[in-house]
Amino acid sequence: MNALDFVPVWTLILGAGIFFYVLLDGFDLGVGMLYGFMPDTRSRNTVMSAIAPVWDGNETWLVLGGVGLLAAFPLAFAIIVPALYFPIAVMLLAMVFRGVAFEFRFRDAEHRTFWDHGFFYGSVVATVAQGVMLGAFIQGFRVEGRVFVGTAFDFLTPFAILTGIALVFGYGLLGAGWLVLKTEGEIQERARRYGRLSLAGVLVALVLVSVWTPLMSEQISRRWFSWPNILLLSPVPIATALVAFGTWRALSGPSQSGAFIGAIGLFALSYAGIAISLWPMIVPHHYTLWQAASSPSTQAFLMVGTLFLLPIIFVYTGWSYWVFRGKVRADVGYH
Amino acid sequence: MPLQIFLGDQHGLNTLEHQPAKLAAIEARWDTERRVPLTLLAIPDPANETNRFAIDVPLLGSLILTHSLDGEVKGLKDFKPEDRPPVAIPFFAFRIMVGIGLLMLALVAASWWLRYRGRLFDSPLFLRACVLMGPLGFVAVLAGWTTTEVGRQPWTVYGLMRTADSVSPSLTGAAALASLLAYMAVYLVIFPTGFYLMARLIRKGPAEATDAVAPIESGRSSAPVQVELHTEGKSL
Repeated sequence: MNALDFVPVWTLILGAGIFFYVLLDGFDLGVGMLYGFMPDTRSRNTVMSAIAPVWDGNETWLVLGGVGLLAAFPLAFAIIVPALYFPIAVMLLAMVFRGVAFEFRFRDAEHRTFWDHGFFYGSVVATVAQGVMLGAFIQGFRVEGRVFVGTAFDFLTPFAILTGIALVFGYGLLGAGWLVLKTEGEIQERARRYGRLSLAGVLVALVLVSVWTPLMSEQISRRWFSWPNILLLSPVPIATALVAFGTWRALSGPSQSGAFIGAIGLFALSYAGIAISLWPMIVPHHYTLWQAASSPSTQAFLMVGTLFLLPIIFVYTGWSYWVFRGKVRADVGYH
Repeated sequence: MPLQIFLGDQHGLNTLEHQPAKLAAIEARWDTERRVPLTLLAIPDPANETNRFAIDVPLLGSLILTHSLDGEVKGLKDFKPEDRPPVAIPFFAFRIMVGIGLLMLALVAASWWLRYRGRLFDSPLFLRACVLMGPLGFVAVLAGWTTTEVGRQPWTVYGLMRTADSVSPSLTGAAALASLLAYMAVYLVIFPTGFYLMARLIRKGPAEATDAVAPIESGRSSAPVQVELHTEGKSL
């Protein structure tokens, strides 16, 4: 009905939305996992206070990602979501435990240990589920026509399990970076230690995934290793190595914010790497962004609301981070 | 409450226009007629396409649904049997919702009367009724939701796509059952805990006001994490 192509804009909105989600909920899921390694109630209080004011705002982006995919790329939604039925269900249920733990832990002191475990395991399970989804997505789904024709357990492959474990280290690194930024003293030292451990895991995982992915798909292999792509794309792995080195230095030195910024850099580069591998497919091996898009009038209609809402989300998100800036202490909380 | 009832009435007019089969099921109307009665209570009998033990108020059906005594209301017989929603579920769920709404209206009226008499805060009977009415709001919402979702059947996209056709092709019954059981298991832990904690908070009564507003440090109150601060923290 009109000559305007909204697909690039929606790709940008969805891509940015998912990236914000991964960064923001990534660091608070990571903090949730590190929480399980804190030695006493006091340090757990501090760690939880470090994310209590912002975690639920971070999950806004999950809603934007899901609904954006449904509305702007319904064909992709119709294939991906049934294919990832169980990881999505498990992730959401894990998040339920994790979410209520914030409140129940303070209100239900008799069962604090139970909710502590709920918070830790909820974070771990949600993270693994997200990593598994990513791996299964990159690997691709069995599709005939316009529907997913595999089974509910197709997602469970060695590659998906690798990405599931990889994301635990990835979110652990983000979480450690956040804790270095938000805490002091002994907890910060612990965060630096766990951060280095996570970074080592991330690097191993990055290498494994970078080798495995091109081996899985000839197309991805050609994208990265054919001439002149191999030259043009070489900044991605080189920058990754440099950022990883910088992050290690920041974790080992006195820097307060370096580790978190470095972790963001590593995620940005990995995200770019996935985008380079898959572009322009939204259902890998089957459908491009344009083939899976809803009609231009639908996309235009949705864009009106989204472009009003996004600045509002940015403003209140930024505001809440500003209000709760600075270091947290165990005896200080917003509850 | 009166605003809610007005909105509900407007919603009803809208449903009559766009989803007439749902409205016919809600009111258990079988025949398309003018000057229809309002069936207060009955046992709908889909097999014989009639109502048993019906308590009807003449003309009120047309008046409420069309705002005219002579208004025509579509009956279920106008729709093919396979295009009709179940009748009993929306019929009773709607009556539960509206019944609770009328009880709430009665409570509002009672509160006006008590205020007029200057006894608004001293009547134990009224205060106890207010406590009971709290959870009924949830019941009303759930009943209304049931009404609208069952009443829209068998359509997902009204008139275009059936619910049976919109199920994910790859989704097996076993997978759906497994995920449903998982959700139930989680909520069986979460919901009773939440209920217990809320009940405990309520039993504790309103928090004592602390003597000073907690000092602020980098945007946070610096007082310890505790229940008493919750209400106060909001006003900081």
